[in-house]
Formats: sequence, C-alpha cells, structure tokens
Amino acid sequence: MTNFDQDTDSHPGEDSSSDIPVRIELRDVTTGTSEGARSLSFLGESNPVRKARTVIPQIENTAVAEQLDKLLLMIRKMIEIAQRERPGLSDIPPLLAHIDEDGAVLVEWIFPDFRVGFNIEPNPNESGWHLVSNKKLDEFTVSGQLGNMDAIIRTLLRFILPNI
Amino acid sequence: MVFPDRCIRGIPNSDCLEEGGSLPNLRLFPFHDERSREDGWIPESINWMDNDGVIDFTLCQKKEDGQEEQFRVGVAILPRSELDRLKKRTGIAEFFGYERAPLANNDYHGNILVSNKVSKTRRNMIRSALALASEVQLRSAG
Repeated sequence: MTNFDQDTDSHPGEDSSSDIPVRIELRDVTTGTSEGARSLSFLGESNPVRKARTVIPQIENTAVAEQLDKLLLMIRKMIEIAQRERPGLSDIPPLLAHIDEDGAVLVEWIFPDFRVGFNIEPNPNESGWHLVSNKKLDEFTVSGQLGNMDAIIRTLLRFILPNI
Repeated sequence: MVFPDRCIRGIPNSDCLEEGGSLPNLRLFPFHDERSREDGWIPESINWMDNDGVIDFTLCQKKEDGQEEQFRVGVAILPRSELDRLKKRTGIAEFFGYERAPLANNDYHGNILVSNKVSKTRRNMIRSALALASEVQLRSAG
C-alpha cells in the first residue's frame, strides 16, 4: 500500500494545496487491458475519452500531445478495469478537452456534484490536476502536479467512480 | 464595503456551457494572463445582485456597438458564500478576492479576482469551483 498525504500548506504560486489527505492503495494493473472489456455506454459514447482524443491531432506541441495521449489512455484503461469489477458502472460523462491560447490543453470532466480537471502544459513539470466538489461531497478543493500520473488518476477514480 | 449574498456572471455564448446542457464549464471564468492589471489581479466581471432586478439588467446589457445583447445565452448566479469559502481554501487569501467596481452605466459592476501569481493548475481549480457553484439561468426564448 502506498499512502499519499498531500501537503496542506500553501505557498505562493505552488500547487501543493489539498484539503484532504488522500490515501490510496496501489495495485498492479499491468495485466489490465481493454481486452474483453464490456462495451461502455457513456451518454451514447463507447468510451468517455473518445471525444477528448479528437483534440490530439490539433495539438502543435509534441510534449503536450504525448502527455494527453498518455493521460487519456490511462484513464480509459483504469475505467475498463473498474468496469469489469463493477458491471453496473455506467453513465460516465465524456471528458472534454480544448486547446488553450498558450498551447496548453485543458481537460475537464464535469459531474453534477464535482469537477475534475487536468492542465497539460508544454513543460510536463507544470502540468497539473484538480478536483472540486460541492457541499454534498464535502467541498473539496484539491490540486497538484501531474508528476505521478498513474497514482493520481487511480486516486481520482477512487473518488469519481463511487460518486457518479 | 457592502456585498450582497449573490453575484451574476453573464454568459456570452454556449462555449461556456457543457455541450448540449446547461452546466457551466471552466471557460465561464477564463482569468487570462493578458487581462492582468498593474496591481497583480486578473479580473473577471460580475454584477453584484443588489436586488432581483439585476438579472434583467444584466440580460439587457448590450455589446459595445450598442446593438446586440452581450449575454445571449443567459446568466450564472454565484453565491458569495462560495467566494468566501474559496478565499479561505485557495491557500493564501491574497490570491483570490472580489470587489465592487461601479461603471458609469452600471452601479452593480464588480470583479472576481485571481492573482497573476497563482499557477495555472490552481487557477483552473478556482475556475472549476466557480463553475460548479454557478446556477445557470438560460435566457428564455423570445
């Protein structure tokens, strides 16, 4: 088990903010593939990342395109694994991506009671994620760097999937 | 300075809403660096809801040409309690704020403020939080 207790101290311009200690259990997902995954029905889409992927060919910066591709692939893979564990899992809204004026890409995942977002920057060290929720879900306002993408996505999905 | 319990953000186009829906996305509050002021704040315009008539007032606001309505889609209403909560949660209070900034033709006008020192990640977190807390009122047809 790997525990992540995120920094609760905030400093100017830094992204270590967190209002919750995030505890996750890492498991080996190297065997998790899309093979045999159930057909997902997400608002008429077969997978929630398809729409966001359509942005990739429009991205000029290779580093941004590669990060986005990796992010979306990882999210889809983890959702498919979760889908196998929870056959009733459905109605996951699509991720939306758009290219910002400075060449970065914003990825947004909109749910009625919470939002998850990613900013993919030309400098990967500046890429980040955030989660905000309303009163129903304890009013989280959490953000951080996207360094350990695998662990971050897994942690976020542990929040997202039970709260859909 | 007296602030009412709610403020209003005009919605100029459907790009600010979830596709095919009425949930606002983070484009409702862009906080672009280019809009940064000399005092270090990046402002996004709002109208303070001093009375219920401010909704109609906002919907009637015209573009600079004086012809077209500025907020064709509708308005988003934000509780000030959410702004106060964010002010506490964004780390250091000096990074987020709000103000009254009356204009010659708009006594209700004000701004939501984010410091230009805030990183993009945290800025996007603030944008998402504002969008999540917004209640959209679409302009009625006709």
